[in-house]
Amino acid sequence: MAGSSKVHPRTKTGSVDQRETRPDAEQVRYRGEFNSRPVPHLSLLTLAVVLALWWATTSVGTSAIGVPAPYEVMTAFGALARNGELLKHLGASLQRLFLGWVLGAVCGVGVGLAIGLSSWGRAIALPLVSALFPVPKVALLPLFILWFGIGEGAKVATIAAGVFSPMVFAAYSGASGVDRNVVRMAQTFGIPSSMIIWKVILPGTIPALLNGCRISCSIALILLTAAEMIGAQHGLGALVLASGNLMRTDQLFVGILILSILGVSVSGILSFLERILLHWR
Amino acid sequence: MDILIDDVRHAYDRLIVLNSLSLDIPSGEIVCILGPSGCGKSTLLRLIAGLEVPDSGRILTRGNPSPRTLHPIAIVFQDFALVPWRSVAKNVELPLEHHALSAQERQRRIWSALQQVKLTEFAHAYPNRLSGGMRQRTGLARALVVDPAILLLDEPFSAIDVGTRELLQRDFLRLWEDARFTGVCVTHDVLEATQIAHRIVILSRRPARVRTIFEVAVPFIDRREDHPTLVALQQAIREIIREEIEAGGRELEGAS
Repeated sequence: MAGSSKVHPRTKTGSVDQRETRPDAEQVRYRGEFNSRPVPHLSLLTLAVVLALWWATTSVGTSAIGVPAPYEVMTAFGALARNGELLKHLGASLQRLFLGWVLGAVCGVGVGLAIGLSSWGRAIALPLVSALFPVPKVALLPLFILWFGIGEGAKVATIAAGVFSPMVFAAYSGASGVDRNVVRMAQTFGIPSSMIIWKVILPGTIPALLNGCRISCSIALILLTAAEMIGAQHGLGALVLASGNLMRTDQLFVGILILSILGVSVSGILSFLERILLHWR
Repeated sequence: MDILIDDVRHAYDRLIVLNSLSLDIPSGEIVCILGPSGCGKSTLLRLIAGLEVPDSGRILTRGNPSPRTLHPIAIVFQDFALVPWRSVAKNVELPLEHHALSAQERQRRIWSALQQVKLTEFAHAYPNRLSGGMRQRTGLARALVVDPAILLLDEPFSAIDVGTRELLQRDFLRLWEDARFTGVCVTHDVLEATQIAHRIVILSRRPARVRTIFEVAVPFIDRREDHPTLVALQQAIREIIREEIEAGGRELEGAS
């Protein structure tokens, strides 16, 4: 049937239209090049190709200092996992990440809601938060070390400071972005303000908060690594730095890999939360 | 309940929106408010709802609502103002939740309101799954669930396609026949006003005063679109609104 595929299908019904056979008749050209369509397996294939290239370049015999072979990274991973070092590093990092993120997020959401819900809150807090926002939070690390000592306090405080601003703006824009007419409707019905906040405004900020979580989690991961590179015994940042100093690129790659997996996992958890919390979309 | 608007003036910063506006809205009537766009119709509605306080003048409601009334005033918006994460039934339940009602009475009210607007089958659907007409039925059910004495409507059927709009207008009149609330409906649809109003109030250009009031003497049952009285009325209304818009335009030219 290859030959007949060129013929217009309507010839089958025997109703050829004169308009189709006119010499100036022309098939409309496809111009939808940017239409989204699924390309099966290509993502997995790309990953495999990258791995293969990695393996190929390292097996030609280049020095292991620059790029370790995949199996060397796996071996280093196995060794670190067996002697318990990996768990120590990961545990220390997760603890700092969790404490810092929760502290920053709770304060940030609190301040953000105050700004979004009350004219007083906006007048008081918005200039302060706006001034704090553009400061790269790593710059605060030395200050926090002076205040809280070189231990956990400074690291947690740096992460919290980095998480704070994006969560403030997420909560603020979420709360002020709630449909004005829905709030007016609730007020017209005499629903008490506390209930409007609890049942209309707070649930309405959830999409913005989840977006804020995405941003603040990636910031937290950056600050965690940076903070752990200064005066930390354990932690993924410390592992990466120490490995670099010892030219142990195999261990260094393990550290980077774990950080990547951490980021992807956080993103996955947030996508899962979005599916559950925003199922009405 | 009737509504008494007495010499109301309202401004946003230096922009005077309403000036010495007085209007009586009799109990149990549907009044449509028309006027050039941007003349302050929606502001008037917000003042009646108590969402804003007039700079001067008074707005009074008089009379006692029926014992079934949970809240005297309810509102319906053009954009429906539904809560997207609540199902239809949950949206209708919202204005009941701060009242001390037994669970039974609550459910009875919800289901009766949903039955009135013919939405019982969609009680558990979320708003984003509904058509515009169904969303506005949800909005109407949510308003009626408190048995309001006054129902405010801000362009309630403007965002709905024409065929559905006519159905909804008819259903709205049926709902009024049952509940006999006082209806204040802001609209820019002259045809709609002549279909659903007892009385049509035309506001002037900004700052808005009452320009003209028409009583629509034709009973609802006789209001076909081509009814000669209604057609004549529509023409008269369009003429007045056009005059107001043109006068406003001339004022702008004169000022510049």
